[in-house]
Amino acid sequence: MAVAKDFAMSDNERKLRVLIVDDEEDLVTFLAKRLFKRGYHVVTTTTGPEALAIATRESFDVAIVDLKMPHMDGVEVIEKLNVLQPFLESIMFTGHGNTETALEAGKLDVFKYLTKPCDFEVIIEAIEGAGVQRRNKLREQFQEKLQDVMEHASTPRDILEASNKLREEYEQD
Amino acid sequence: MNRTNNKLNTCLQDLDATLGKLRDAGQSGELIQEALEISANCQQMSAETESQLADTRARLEHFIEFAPLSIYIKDDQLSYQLMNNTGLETLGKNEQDVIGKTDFDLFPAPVARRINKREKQVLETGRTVQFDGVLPLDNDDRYYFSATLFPIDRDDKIIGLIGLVEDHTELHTSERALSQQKEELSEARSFLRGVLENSQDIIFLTKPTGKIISINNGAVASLGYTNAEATEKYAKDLAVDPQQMVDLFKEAFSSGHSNCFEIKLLRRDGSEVIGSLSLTTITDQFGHIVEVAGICRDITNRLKLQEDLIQTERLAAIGKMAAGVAHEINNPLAIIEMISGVIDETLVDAEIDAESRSELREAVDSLLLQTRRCASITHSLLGFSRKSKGAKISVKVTDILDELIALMRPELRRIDVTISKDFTQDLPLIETDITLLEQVLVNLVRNALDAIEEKAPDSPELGISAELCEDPDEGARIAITITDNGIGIEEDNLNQIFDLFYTSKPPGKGTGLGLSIVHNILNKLGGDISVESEVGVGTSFTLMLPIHS
Repeated sequence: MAVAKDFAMSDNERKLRVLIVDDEEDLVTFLAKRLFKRGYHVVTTTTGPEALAIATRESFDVAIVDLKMPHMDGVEVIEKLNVLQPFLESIMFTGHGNTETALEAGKLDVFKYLTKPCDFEVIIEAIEGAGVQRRNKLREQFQEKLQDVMEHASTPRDILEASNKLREEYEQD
Repeated sequence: MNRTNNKLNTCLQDLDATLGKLRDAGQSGELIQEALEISANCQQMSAETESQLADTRARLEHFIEFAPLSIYIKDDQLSYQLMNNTGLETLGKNEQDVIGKTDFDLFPAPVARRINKREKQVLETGRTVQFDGVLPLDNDDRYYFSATLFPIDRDDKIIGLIGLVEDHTELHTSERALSQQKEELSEARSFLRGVLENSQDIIFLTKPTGKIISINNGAVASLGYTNAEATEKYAKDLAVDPQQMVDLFKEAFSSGHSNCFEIKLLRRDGSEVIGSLSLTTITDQFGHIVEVAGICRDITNRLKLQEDLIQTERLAAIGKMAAGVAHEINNPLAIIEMISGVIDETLVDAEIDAESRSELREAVDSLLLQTRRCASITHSLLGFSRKSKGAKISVKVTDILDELIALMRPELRRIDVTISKDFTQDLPLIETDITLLEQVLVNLVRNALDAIEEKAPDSPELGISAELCEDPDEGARIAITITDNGIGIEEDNLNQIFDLFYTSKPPGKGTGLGLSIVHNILNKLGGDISVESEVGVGTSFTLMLPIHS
């Protein structure tokens, strides 16, 4: 039975929250261990449906998703994760540097695809890059919405309330 | 007629004599009686003569009218006085159209002049003239004739001529038709001979005994025998299994023909040709078999192609499987890599002595290195089995060459070849179809290795170089050169090596497809391939690849 394992520690600083979805349990376990050591908040699962269940409860910055999995493949998982969490950046993890998959991943708006086995530092780099991209997108969207509010809100109080709401929604400090 | 006239003359002389005597003697009664008798005689004779003359004329007229000859009579002005029925019918005219007219009234001037010239000759010389000619008729037909012209003389003066004209039209046309038929026949024959002679198929003709009478050019080319050499042989001598040929002949004798889809024939040099043979017996008008014709299509290449296709399919299947295996291995490899990393990281905090730590660290490094090696193999395999999508992407040629060397390492190691790389640094990226380029390179390296293996030099060497090449016509291109120190290629064969099915390798080893595929692929990629080689020294293939496709 696949069980979600939470490696999260005390959330003193803003750690990147990583969701790992791969049917290779050993891979998931050791990858999570190493990422945790590097200071990431990591949640793992070995099936797509469980990953979606987790994503309804908890928000993530980056998802590392294996392409080939039984029941629900990585493409479908990423599609559904994107619906649940529009700002979640995905990294496709695959045993095959297949062009077709890469193309499909391109349609999917995947931040990067990595071929197994992959150097750990390359994975770290990808996660960091994905994190930066996510923050940038959030900021952009926040600025846009804020502009919108400034133009349409009537009172300063409205503006403040709206901008505070936006700040929360788009994770801006 | 002369005889009658003579008689008549004799009678008249008698009459004269009698009348003279009558006058001299004055004795009238007897003499007059006599004269009367003579006169009666004369009259009788004259009547006889007249009837004979009429008879003769009637016969002559009949002959003239109904002779199968055209007959005419002209006066000394060369106007028609008479023309018989046959003549009129031939010309398609009535008597009144002709009589009193000259040829210039009847025929086109050039024709009339020609006839006129001959007829004048007759009038002038008084000799018979014969000539052949042709007349255009009103119905656009042509009338070929042979004419004989006789002079008519009276009192040593030529007063006209008679023309006898024989119709040669039928003779002429049948002659012409015959010669045309002959021509057509010889044309058809030479066409057929050309087809048979130059057919790529092996065609031979034998006596019923199987003794070869002749072979065509196709057979000369395919089997290597000259026609003279072949005629020394029996058909069964051409077969690898003579009995098979004998059986085919027997079958042909009984049913008129026989077929064999696959028969092995022997070339002059002892090698084999696989052919699809059919024998047909040729019989004379009595049904006796006089010759046997054999037509045989060389299907060696077709069979080879079939085999190669099967081989290619098999390779594709193996490639697919290899890709699947590689994919499956990547997961455990990823895990090994991950665990190695975990061990490495754990070592940092582990409470062990420094020596153990460094030993373990070394072990883990080695583990990571080997994992990466495995990964490079599986990635190459996956890359290689990838089907070409026809997509061109920008690539670094040197990366592809490095990947190629990694992929082919097992083969390179087998013959312990030293690889010397000579890559110009920072070459521009080229836009190309990697899968196809890889296929070309693998082919060339395999060929190089085969050439090296065959020669087995003390120090096998494979050189791979990549450099930028500026050409005023072609622009900037990248040249990839693969050099070996193998057996080399004979100069005579150099221009054939890119031909389909050309191979110097023993049967079963080379398909003769490799380099022709290489050539085709390079055409597709917009590149070129050239070769330099020296027997016993080595060969070097150079690919020129455009930077932009």
